[in-house]
Amino acid sequence: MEPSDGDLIAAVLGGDTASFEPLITRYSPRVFATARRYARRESEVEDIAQEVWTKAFQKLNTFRGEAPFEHWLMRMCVRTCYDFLREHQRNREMNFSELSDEQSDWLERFARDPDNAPEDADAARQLVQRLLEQLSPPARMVITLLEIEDRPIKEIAALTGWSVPLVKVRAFRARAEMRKLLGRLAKEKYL
Amino acid sequence: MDLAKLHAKLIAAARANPPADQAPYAFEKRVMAQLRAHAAEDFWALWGKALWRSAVACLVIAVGLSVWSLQANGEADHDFDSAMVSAAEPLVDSW
Repeated sequence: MEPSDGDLIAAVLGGDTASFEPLITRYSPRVFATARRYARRESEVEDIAQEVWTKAFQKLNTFRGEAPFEHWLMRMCVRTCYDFLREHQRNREMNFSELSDEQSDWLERFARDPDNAPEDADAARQLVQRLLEQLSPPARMVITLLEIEDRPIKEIAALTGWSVPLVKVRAFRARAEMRKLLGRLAKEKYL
Repeated sequence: MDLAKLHAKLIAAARANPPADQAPYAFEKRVMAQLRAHAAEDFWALWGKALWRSAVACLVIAVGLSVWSLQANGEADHDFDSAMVSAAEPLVDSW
C-alpha cells in the first residue's frame, strides 16, 4: 500500500528528504497541465514546475493539513504561473493579418456558419491561444480559471489569493478585454 | 460577425483541448537533485551568516575592550603623574 500524503509530508518534515520524491511523482501531472495553460515553450513549463516544487519543499512546514495537499500545491502552482505571466509580460500586440491559413479558414467558416464551425479544430485551439497571449496577466488568469476550467469564483479567490470582489472585478474587465480583442480581430479580418 | 458567439466558440475550443499533463522523463529525480544541492548551499550560506555574526560580535568586544583599556590607561597616567609629583611635594612643603 502506498503511503498517504500525510505520511510522506511528516517524513519529509522529520528530515527524510527522499520522501518528497513520491509526492513529486504523484502530483507533477497536475502541475504540468496547469503550467502548460500559461506557458507555451516546454522549457518554460518545466521551469514553472521546478519552481513550484522548490517552493513546496521550502514551505512544507507551513502546510497545516487542514485541506488536502493537492489543494495547497495547486494554490502555489497557480500563483507561480501568475508570477510567470507578470514577469513575461511583453507587448504582445498582434496583427491579425499574421494568422495562419488554417486559422483564417476557421474564422471564415465561423463567419459563414457560426453554429457549425468545429470546436475541436486545431486552428480554433491555436486561435484562442493567440488571443489569450495578448490578454493582460490578470485577465488571462481569470478567463482561464473561470471560463476555460469552469471554476467557481470562490475557488478562484482561494487559488489566486485575491478577494471574491476582486475576482469579480477582474472577470468583468477580462471579458471586456477579450471582447475588445475579438472586435479588433473581426474588424481587421472583415472590414 | 457575432462576437459573443465567437467568444463562446473559442472558449469551447479551449475546453475541448486541455493541455497534456505528462511530466518529462525523470523529472522528479532532477527536482530532488536540485533540492539536495540547494540544501547543501543553504548549509554553507548558514555557516557564512554565522561567521559574519560572530565577526560582528568580536568587533564589538574588541571596540569595548579598546575603550576600557584607554580609560584604564588614562587613570594609570594620572597615577604615574601623582607618583612623580608626590616626591617633590614634601620639598615644597619644607620651604
